[in-house]
Amino acid sequence: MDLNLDKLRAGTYYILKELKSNISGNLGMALISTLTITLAMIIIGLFMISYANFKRIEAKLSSYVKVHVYLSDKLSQEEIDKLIDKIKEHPEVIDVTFIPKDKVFKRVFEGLDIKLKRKLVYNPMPNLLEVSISSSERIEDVVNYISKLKGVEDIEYWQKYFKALRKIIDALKKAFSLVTFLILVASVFIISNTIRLTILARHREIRIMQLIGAAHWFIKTPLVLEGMLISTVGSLLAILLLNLIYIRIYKWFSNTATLLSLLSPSGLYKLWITLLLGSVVIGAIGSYLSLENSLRELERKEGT
Amino acid sequence: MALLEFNEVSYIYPNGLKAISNLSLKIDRGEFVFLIGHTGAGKTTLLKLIHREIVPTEGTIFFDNVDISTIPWSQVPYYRRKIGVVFQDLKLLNYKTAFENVAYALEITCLPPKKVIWRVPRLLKNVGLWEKRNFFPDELSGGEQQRLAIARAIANDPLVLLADEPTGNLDWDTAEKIMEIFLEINRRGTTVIMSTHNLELVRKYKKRTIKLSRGYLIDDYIP
Repeated sequence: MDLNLDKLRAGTYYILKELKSNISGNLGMALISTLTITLAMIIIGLFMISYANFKRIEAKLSSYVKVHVYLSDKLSQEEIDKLIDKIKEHPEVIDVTFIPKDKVFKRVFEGLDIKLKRKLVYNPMPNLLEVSISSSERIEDVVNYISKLKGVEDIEYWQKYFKALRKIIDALKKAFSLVTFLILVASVFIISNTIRLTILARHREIRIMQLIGAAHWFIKTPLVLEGMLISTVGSLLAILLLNLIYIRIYKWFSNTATLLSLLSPSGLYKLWITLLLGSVVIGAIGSYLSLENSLRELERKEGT
Repeated sequence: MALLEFNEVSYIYPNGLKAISNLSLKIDRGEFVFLIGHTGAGKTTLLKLIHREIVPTEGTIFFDNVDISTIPWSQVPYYRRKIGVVFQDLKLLNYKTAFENVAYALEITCLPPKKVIWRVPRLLKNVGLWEKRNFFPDELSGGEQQRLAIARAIANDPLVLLADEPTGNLDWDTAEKIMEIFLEINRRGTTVIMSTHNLELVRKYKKRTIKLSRGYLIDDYIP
């Protein structure tokens, strides 16, 4: 292939001309495909936004995560210190604070009826270690590790709550993967079908191009670009709509819930870029898949 | 060395019809060849084989010393640019003007637009269609459409010009005018292979004539 700058420039010009002609000749189908892609991308986008926000909530909550380790009364101070050192050895453990049983008593019974306090002959509370950990994802690991250590009587943490949140996140992750996969396959199919229809609608012209010596890339490139353009415009529309909806939800949420604030709309740009790039790739794959077969079929059918 | 060489070529269509049988022939550069024979004799199949629209079931075809059956799919377009074709059904684009139809053949080779604008008038003038450059194919007569197809076929200066029944539906005077254009193209050095039913033209112009019957070469007359 003889590629000099002039030819490259001319080729680009002719390809864009072909692209314009392809789209204007098949505008209805291109519009329907674009809107279908918009819908598909909105669904994927919604999943991505939900997932990103659940991850954020989890990360935020994990900063509050503390494991309460109740110690046996039989432990000496030296043994307690050793135990603290052992707990600190775990990579997820950030800090360990020792709270003596008197303070624990105060914390628990503060504000209680004085009469009730007087009835207690001795302090029933054990010594306590407050363990801060880096991430709620590894909380089970840390609890397992600590529970095996000598002198630990009981462990308390927001186990149920975190398990529930993790379950939601995991379920969302699975649903997201499955739905995304299905939608991606469907999107590739939509694009591929649109391009096949374009080829069918313009088969006479494409056949003439083949016969008078148009290089395969010259025929294919405008069609691949058409697929990419459809999916890009489709996903841009989806991004625009999602952004508008999200800003409204964000404003409403920040007015009502203060503790668990959502990701700010400007923080979603990475997500939009991923969606946009993903759709460009989908467009390219979708159109390329239908092209190779359709063009060869055209050559074979017309040649015989 | 011949420009085109058929060595024991046979072609059987997928439906089992044997269109070309054991054909061997050579065509040199600059020759003018008439291809004659009844309908179904194998003339169009022979042209399709040269144009690499189909590949031989048996035998080999060499074009400019290259076995064209071995040309990979990706390189076929570049091979086809060496061959101009006037198709039996012309294959003109009805939504493009005469100018645009010819320009299209140059555009697909990525010739810069300035050169296209420079070359198309020359091509249209060669076939006497410059005045009708803005006409759509539907607005042209049969002879003019034929001339437009010729202008497009020679746009990329092919080594060979294949013409499949180019005078089929034309009256004698128009057919003669078309023949004059082919002869002029041939005089400039392009090999011309023209299939025809018009034996009067064959007799009048006295050029090499290959006769096919049911896929067999039955006569190769060189005057």
